[in-house]
Parts: sequence; C-alpha cells; structure tokens
Amino acid sequence: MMERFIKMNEIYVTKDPYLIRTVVGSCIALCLWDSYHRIGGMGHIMLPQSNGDSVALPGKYADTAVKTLISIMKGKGGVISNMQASCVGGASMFQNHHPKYESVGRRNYQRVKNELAHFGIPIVTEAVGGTSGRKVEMNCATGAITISMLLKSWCMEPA
Amino acid sequence: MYDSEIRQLEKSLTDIFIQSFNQAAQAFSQLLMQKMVLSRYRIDMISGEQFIEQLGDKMEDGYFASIIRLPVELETVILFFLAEEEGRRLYDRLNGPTQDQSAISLDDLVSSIGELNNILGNNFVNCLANTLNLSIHGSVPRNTLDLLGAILQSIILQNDFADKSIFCADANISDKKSTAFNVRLVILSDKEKLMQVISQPEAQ
Repeated sequence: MMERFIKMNEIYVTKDPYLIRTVVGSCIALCLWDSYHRIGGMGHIMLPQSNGDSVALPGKYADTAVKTLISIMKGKGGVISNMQASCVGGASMFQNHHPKYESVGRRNYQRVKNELAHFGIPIVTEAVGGTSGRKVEMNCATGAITISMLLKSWCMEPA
Repeated sequence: MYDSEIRQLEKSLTDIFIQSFNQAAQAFSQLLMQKMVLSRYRIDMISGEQFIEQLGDKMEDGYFASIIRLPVELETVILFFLAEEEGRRLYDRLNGPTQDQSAISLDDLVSSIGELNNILGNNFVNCLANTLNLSIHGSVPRNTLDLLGAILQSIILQNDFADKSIFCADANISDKKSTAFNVRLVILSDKEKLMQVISQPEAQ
C-alpha cells in the first residue's frame, strides 16, 4: 500500500488505497471518510482561527481547513451526507505559564467540532486532549483509523 | 533602529548563543567525565513552522525533551532533547548501569533529562543575565517523553511561535566521534522582544 505523511498545514484527499498518517500534539488531525465513494482525506490543522489572509495555507486554520477538506472531497465525487469524521490531537503536552496559550489544543478541537457540526458531519472517532502526542493513520481503502501513542496503539474500523 | 545597529545586536546575540553552547558542552563533559564538544551549531531567523520542517524525518520517533521558559518579556524557550534510546543510555551513564531495567520508572528517566536541561540550558540564562546585567530566572524544567513531532508542535503553538520570526539557535553537543551521545540544545526566542531587551542601555 502506498504511504504518505501529512505535514503541518497540509490537506490531502485521495480515492486511491493510500495509508496516510501524521503526528499531532496540540494540533488536530481531522480525517474525513466518504464510505460510499470510498474517498479519504486528512488535514493537519494548527490553529483555530484564520486572520483573513489564510488563502495560501487553508489547511492551517480550523475555520478554513474544514471547508477546504470538504470541498476537495466533493470535487473528487464525495457527498457530505456520506461523510464521517475522526478528530485526533489537541493535547497540552507542557503545562504552560501563559494561560493565554495553555488551551490552544482545546480551542483547535472546539473550532473543528463547530465547523463539522455546521456541515452536519458526525464525529465517529475522537482521541482528543490529554498530555500525550498521537500518531494517526488512515487506511484510505477501508476508512480504518489507527491511533498510536508512544507506548500504546488502537484501531477503529469505520461503522 | 538602523541596519548597522541591528547587525551589531545580532552579533552580540550570536556571541551569547555560542558562548552558552560552549559552556554547556563543558558542563556536559564534567558530568560524563568524557570530552564533549559543540559539534555543530546553527543560528537562524525563521518561523516556528520552519524550525519543525527542518527536523522532518524524525517526527515519528520517540524523544525525551525538556523545556525551560524565560520570563515573559524575553519570550524565550530553552529546549533540550535527545532520542529515547540515547536518553536511556545517558541515564545509565549518569546513574550507573542498572541490572533490572524494569526498576527504573519513566518518571525517573524523564526528570533526569530535566535536570540535564537545568545544568546545560541554564548556561544561556547565565550568559544573557551577565550581558544584560540583570537577574534572570528560568522556569522549572517541564519534561516529557513523546513523539518528537508532537513535542515540537506543542512548544511552537503554546508559545505563539508559529508565524513569528524567531531566533533559532540550534546546537548539537556530542563526543568527538558522535558515537556515544549526541544531544540537542535549542534556544527559541521571539526576535523582536529579545532585540528590544538587549538594546537597552544597561545591556551595552
């Protein structure tokens, strides 16, 4: 199976049997899966809110990344009503002295969740928060999501 | 500020970085009772995202990491990290080999790495404090063992370094052949804030 690592701020969508993966700490990995058309996509989202000049990197901010990921999925034949989402990340790995930034992971997740709710896309898998980073893999042939932490891992098959 | 003044400040900062890295190498040598050297250093002005990009192929590997944060007016983080396997060897070297590896708790390992950051990373705090003629106190080290990609992202995001231009002073300290230990000491600092502080008259 072909593999691809999704970098920060990147959005990737495919109909091919790729194994796509990324590593997240405070960032959010958003995986979308259209089970009928068998299209998979992943975004590696860094920040909750764009400041209006995010066109160059729509995958960076939750508000633009969710829309863009959905739009690319639709461009490849996906249909919103068939889509389901998995959200992974949003950890706070180092306790912080600056309360302003302490909750960046939580804010990232909240914004992604709100955007998905806006489109009526259900979240079927969540592994969010805590104090550990996560590696997430999506099998774009089956929609299965595998989440690993440094010392443990688990796999979820799509419904 | 004129370009020539900016260049002068950048040169002063570069001197501080190099001096603190050399002192850290010396302290590391004393701890290990083995000659350790500053085998590589690089000082860039980049964004936090670019810093992470530079370490691209190691993102999925397990690393010990420790951060010390400097007072808010300096917006600076001292990051010390090394590969998991190397961290375990370093622990053995510092504490004596342990027969029963299962007896060593993860907390012990992680806090040992934090102590090393206290010793090595604080050389930068001292150099900066001497230059500025100020008393500067770093935070208690915050330590972890985790995936490198996750560690770096969290540091960049929690310090709001993602888009900013930051000084990234990045050094490897190793034995001469880089076969025993090769640790990484990185100072990430908000460029504008650090320049502002160092340009104060009492710092000249």
